[in-house]
Amino acid sequence: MFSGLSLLFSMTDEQAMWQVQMQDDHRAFAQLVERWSGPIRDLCCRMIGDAHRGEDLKQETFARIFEKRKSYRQSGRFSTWLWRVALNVCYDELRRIRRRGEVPLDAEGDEGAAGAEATMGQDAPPDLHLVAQEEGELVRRALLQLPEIYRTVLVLRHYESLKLAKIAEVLEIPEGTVNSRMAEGLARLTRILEPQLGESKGRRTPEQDPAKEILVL
Amino acid sequence: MKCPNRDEWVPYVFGEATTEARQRLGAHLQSCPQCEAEVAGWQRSLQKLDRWKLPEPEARMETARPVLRWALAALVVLSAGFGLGRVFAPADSQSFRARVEASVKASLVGELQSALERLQVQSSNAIASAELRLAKASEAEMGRLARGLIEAMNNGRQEDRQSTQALLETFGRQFDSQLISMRTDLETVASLAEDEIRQAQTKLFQIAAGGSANP
Repeated sequence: MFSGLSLLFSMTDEQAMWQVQMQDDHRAFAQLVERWSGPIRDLCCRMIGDAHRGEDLKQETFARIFEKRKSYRQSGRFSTWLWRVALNVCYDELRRIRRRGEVPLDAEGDEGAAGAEATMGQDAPPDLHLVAQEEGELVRRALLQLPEIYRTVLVLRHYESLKLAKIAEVLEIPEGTVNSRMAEGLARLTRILEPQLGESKGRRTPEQDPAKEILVL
Repeated sequence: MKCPNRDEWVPYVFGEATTEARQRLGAHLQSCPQCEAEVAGWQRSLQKLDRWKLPEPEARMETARPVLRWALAALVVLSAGFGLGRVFAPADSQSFRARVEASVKASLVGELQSALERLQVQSSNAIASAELRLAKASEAEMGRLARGLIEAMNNGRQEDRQSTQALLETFGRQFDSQLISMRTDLETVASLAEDEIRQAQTKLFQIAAGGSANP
């Protein structure tokens, strides 16, 4: 039993997934879930902009991984496949939200930001915690305003620390495309955030006016 | 001066540019305020992304919550039961207590009995396993002895050969002498028997011959 456990600990992701694929090995699967639970949850939270939904989508990702275990190709890296499946789960959820015409994420954000502003508006000394919360909320909303293709590369590179080449592999696109999406994503994000969080030193052209962008969105 | 393509700044900003590209782009930034402003803006945006903190994962809460919920439920049920018991307690508290005591005793006896049975099963299991271990140990001991014997036999084979030969000869001699004495004994027995038979025959003849004269 102990030798089995130690074997499990030393297993690579690919070996564990192979066990899952060939023998429906639940212990190996639990090991994979334990290893990847945090990063996948974070990815889902950032992509959807909602921590609670992110948790659910993480579960859905692992359920889908187990469902599709037979289609995992052993030649590829497990993590590449996992990121891809998780992103597809997120895209499905975003599509569902759009189809229903819901904007719960932003509505909630408005409420949170309004609440923070109301407190800030009073003569009470500025609460650092609340300020940080408000700034975090602005970032969350800025990311949600970005089209999915730009948000995806930003989230994968900045929050999940995937190299640009790895992102290209996960998204199955050339690395040059990753770079151009990233450049556009960063430019748009900067246009949204600079006027909101100050420190604006960047050049501005009339068509890049951040005020306009926010009004449009 | 021609500015680099915007996409080229991406690996630079994320620290993934090659040494050559890093030097070239770094030099360009020194001399181009436009590019410098753009790249600095990106870098500030990336720093700002860190201000969005995610709450701690709910995994730990998920495991704690059901326990907490059950504990609360149990508390509610227990307090309700206690309250009802107090309200509807029989007037005759003595008989009520006697009944409760009896039922508690009965359940205790049951518990004890089952515990005893469990203990018995456990001890018999323990004995069985001890026997098994013993058997294995004696097996091992036998093995060890046998190995020792074979070894001793191998070692002593050469020197023992002569003594064994001597032993065999002695045994053979003893056997021979025993055989001889046995044969002598047998012959003695046989001759004795022969004498007996002869005497018996003589008596029979005498009886037959003088039967009438000597009844």
